[in-house]
Amino acid sequence: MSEEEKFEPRGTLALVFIFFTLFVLLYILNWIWLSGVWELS
Amino acid sequence: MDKDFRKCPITGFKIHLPAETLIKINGVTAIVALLIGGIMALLVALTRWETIHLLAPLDYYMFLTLHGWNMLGFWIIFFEVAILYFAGAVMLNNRLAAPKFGWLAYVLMLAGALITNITVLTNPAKNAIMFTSYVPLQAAPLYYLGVILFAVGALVAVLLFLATLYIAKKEKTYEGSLPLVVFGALAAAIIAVGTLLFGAVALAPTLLWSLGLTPTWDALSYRIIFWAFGHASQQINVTAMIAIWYLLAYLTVGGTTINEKFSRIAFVLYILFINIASAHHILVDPGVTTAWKIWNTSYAMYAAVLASLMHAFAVPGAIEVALRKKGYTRGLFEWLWKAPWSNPAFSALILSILTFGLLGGITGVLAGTEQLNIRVHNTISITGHFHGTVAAGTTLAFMGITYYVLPLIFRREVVAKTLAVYQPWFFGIGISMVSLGMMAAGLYGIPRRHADVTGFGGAPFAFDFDPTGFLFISIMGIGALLAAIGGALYCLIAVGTLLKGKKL
Repeated sequence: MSEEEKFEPRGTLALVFIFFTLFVLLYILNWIWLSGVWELS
Repeated sequence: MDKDFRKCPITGFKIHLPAETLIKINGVTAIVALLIGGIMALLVALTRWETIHLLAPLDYYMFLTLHGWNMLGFWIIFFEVAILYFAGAVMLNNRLAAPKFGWLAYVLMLAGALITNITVLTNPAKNAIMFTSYVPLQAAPLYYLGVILFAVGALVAVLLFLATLYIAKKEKTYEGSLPLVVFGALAAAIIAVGTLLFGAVALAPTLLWSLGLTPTWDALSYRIIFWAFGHASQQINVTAMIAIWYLLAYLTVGGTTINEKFSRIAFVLYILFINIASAHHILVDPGVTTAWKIWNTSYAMYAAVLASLMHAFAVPGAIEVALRKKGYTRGLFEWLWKAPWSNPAFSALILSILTFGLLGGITGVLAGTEQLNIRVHNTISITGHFHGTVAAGTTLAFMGITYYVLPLIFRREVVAKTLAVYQPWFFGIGISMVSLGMMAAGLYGIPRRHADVTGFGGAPFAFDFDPTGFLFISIMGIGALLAAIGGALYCLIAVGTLLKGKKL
């Protein structure tokens, strides 16, 4: 890893990716929950 | 140096003494409002917690009305006025344009806050009409007068901030562009001007109507205009909070944004788009067109959310780069583990980012869209959303900056440092439980603004909610107790520092 790369906010990018994935999952789960699909089963 | 200034030995800022006095008085008043609003929060939460069900309906509505005004209005706006004076005068090594107008603003705001509190407390049956004050509910004229006085006072303070920026530019007290934090405060001030004017347009006719000078005031017009004030006032808080995030990133670890333009564009997106996201309040009102509703609850809101996402990357990015430069370069997250977690300002900043982003922000996008809003509107889910944004995000950021304001402006060493380390965690975890509990309970249909959702006061149309909803209401109640401990600790530490803190 170069000296410059050492100081890049790679951890923040990873966190953004993790939270974005969680957000998409939450959105889908929320949509399913509100649609009442679970109650049908 | 001019006798009206002192030089801060820690930051090197040239501090205008009349500005400093106004920052102090607005800051202290904000904390008093937080204490009052916090006590009311506990009473309200212990009533909504069905197992305890503390207050009778009239007392509940009285305290809920005042909890709303003291927290969403008085605590946050007094604190924001202090921030505006700090940003315009202290951060630019500048003088406050006209301190007399600062005092005029303060007296108007204080009079407004006192009148509103007293009118509701002395005659709740007439005046406990909630923060929204929906027409045709009619309170006594003094109630509206109190709110209008407070809003006019706040507007005077915002105009004073803008005049102070003009002086800084004219007298060249800074070089180049406005510092990012001041730019953020300016964005909040611009949103505030429009917001407060809408407040005047909504509430001035309401005052005339309650005085009997006009026969009626159209409920539909009121709602549309009110929400340009009611929700937009919370966008001032969001923008001020983000400005404080950048300031705290700098003060706690020396972090500065990686790309100034990126952060400034995000603030401009707020100015352009964040206010119209409040359209979801009038989705079922016939006064605005369907196209308007769809545009504002989708594209306009996405543009505002894009701004929040940009800040949500820029602020932690600034923190990470600063910590990496301190030598924490191992792996992806060494900087995170080695961050100064024992500094309450830092933990408050991180908790503010997390709670605002993950609780308030995401649910704002979900609940703000037209299709989902119809499902959750008027449920306690919405209350959960704004307890994630304002109660958690903004309040935690303001609590965090207090740990720097106390030594830098009040020149007192913070007392009870060990307690201070735990304070943001108590409040942050507690208020997150409040927010999550409310949001989940709302999805089971449990309504907001209700003193008794099990018996509806003995009304014949009682409704049995899914008991799971009440499990989440209990989580909200436990969270409220924790948050109250965190809030009480904050007030104790702040007041204790002012009274007993070692002079610096």
